[in-house]
Amino acid sequence: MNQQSEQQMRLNAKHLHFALEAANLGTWDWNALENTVCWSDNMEQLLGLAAGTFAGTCEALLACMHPEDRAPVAAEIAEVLAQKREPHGEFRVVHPVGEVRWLSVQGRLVFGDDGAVVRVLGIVADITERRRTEAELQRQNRRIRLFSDIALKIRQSLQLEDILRTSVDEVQKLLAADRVLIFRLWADGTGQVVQEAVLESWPAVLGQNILDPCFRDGYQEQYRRGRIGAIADIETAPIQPCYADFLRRFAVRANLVVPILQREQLWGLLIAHQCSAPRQWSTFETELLLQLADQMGIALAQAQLLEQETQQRRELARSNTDLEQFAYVASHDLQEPLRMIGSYLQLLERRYQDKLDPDAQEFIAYAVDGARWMQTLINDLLAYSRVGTRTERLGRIDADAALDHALTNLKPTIEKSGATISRAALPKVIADATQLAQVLQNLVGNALKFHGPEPPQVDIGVRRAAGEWVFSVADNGIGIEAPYRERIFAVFRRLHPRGDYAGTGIGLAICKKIVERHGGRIWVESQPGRGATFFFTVPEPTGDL
Amino acid sequence: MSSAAAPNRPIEVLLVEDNPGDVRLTRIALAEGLIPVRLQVVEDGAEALAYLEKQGKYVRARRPDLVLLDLNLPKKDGREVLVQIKSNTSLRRIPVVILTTSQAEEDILRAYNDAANCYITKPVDFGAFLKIVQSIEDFWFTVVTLPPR
Repeated sequence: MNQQSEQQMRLNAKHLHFALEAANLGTWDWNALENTVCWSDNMEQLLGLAAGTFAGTCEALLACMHPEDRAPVAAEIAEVLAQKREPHGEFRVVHPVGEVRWLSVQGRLVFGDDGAVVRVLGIVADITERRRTEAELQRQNRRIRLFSDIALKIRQSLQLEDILRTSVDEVQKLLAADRVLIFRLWADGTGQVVQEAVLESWPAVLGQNILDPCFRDGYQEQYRRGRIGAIADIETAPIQPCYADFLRRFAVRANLVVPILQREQLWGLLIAHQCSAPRQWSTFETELLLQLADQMGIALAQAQLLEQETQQRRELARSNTDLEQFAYVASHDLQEPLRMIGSYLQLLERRYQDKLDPDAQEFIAYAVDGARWMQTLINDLLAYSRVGTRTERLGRIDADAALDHALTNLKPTIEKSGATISRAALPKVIADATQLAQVLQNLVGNALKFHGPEPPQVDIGVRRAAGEWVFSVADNGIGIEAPYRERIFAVFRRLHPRGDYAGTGIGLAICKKIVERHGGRIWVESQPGRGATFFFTVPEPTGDL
Repeated sequence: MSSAAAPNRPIEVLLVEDNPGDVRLTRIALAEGLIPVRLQVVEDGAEALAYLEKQGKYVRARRPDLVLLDLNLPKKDGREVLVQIKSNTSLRRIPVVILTTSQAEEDILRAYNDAANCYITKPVDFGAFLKIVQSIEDFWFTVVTLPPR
């Protein structure tokens, strides 16, 4: 070996030493034939031994290890030698103060001429930090999964009670907290524990109303702005003594408080307690709790919406029942006295015909006519009120069939008036079949009734518009003057004396009510003396016909 | 005469009606008819059942050949009376004619479901009422063969 290469070798060894030191890597060299080990200075430090105390044997190495890892490592060594496989593995060592550290080992085998293992060279690294980071990551991943599970559970329910129950149960498990509770806050600054998940060993606070003078005005406002409260140890935290006393009453040692906001209003607080010991809440835990509180806020808002909707539906059902009740009263209780008036007037007329002068007979005729008219009005009003109370569901029905039905009912009138009816092919629409027939019958009936000197000519058509069908019923009748085109759709609104055209004026009101119940509109276009065209729309939700 | 009711005795009719005006109208209409009818009147549903079951003061009541039943009555209403008549093995054969002001679909359906023999709506017009009562008389007492008493 020349001087230069020897110098080179020394330099290499120096570099290597520096690299190993910098990486805190230990090296060892086991002579299998002699069962002796050489090791670098820092090996003892890595193994947790005092300098100069490492015996350098396999047994001494195993003795440093965590008891649970000794057997697997011994087995690994035996296997490495038997199978002539390069060793690598991770194990724990226990340092004198009881600190457990993770080491990793990687080795190379050196074979003799006979192929037997003569030496094993290896490096040892302390990987405790890496293991910790990995474990923390795993824990976080598990929590994130749990979090999404919980968020899903919370969001799936629309029942307030369920949402709250699930939240406290799951958060308690997730954080392994001793107590998790939901504190509902009221506007006057007081509040109540409305839900709680607590370990058996700690006092329950569920149902307690809390009004503590310790809570200053404005603490709610801070939470509303998103404040988070975290106390690792109430015994050492810089909090007001009265607040610490308050928490001690519930055996609280550490707490984490996040606001539950429902559409920017402070609904309540989600609170985690550690009772057994102080607890440093990690950023991760705080974030998690905040996000869960967000999810709860959304779920609560949804539940509230549902509640409002249910309430409205209940009120609507009640008003429908009221209306039905009214309709029934109208049909029976109002008609009975009317029948008495009409019948007895007629009986008077029959019995005392000889004794009544023409005036008296005329008066009786008017009174009887009035009673009959009123009965018609009552029945029409009843029909009108029933439009909304029909329970038949909307379905896709054939408008052509509905028109057939209407024209059949009108057949005598059509024949009598000598009318010509022309009809387009009508589509299938989403409607109540009976009610659509009713609308068509009323409109065609009006077209026949309000005719001019010519025999009636009625055209029934339809056209497709954006998101709806527009039906039309056109006639060549007397038409409607502009100022009346709105009001003809009101109940009992008539434009002509009863003597000229029959009817109470309920027909178009019923049409309007039916069309609107279907989500459509109804209107009329007309030139007086040149006929009128009534239009009504039926929404077409599929939109692509 | 095809009726099972013997011609030598008047037809027995029970009218269940709380409105005296209607009772009077019915009496007048029946009196104008050709068939002798003995009309008994009770004013509410409970009375009607007591009459039919011959209870209390009705112990000597004659079994009616026909019941004219209003629906809206004080105490027990006509619907309950109908159900009780039609579920009573000895009374169910008596024809029950619903004679009411109600034109409500649900009343009509319910009455027939509960085995009413027919359903008639009272008209406002006296002439029409007269015609109806006389056709009841004609149909039930001359056309129809009633069950033997």
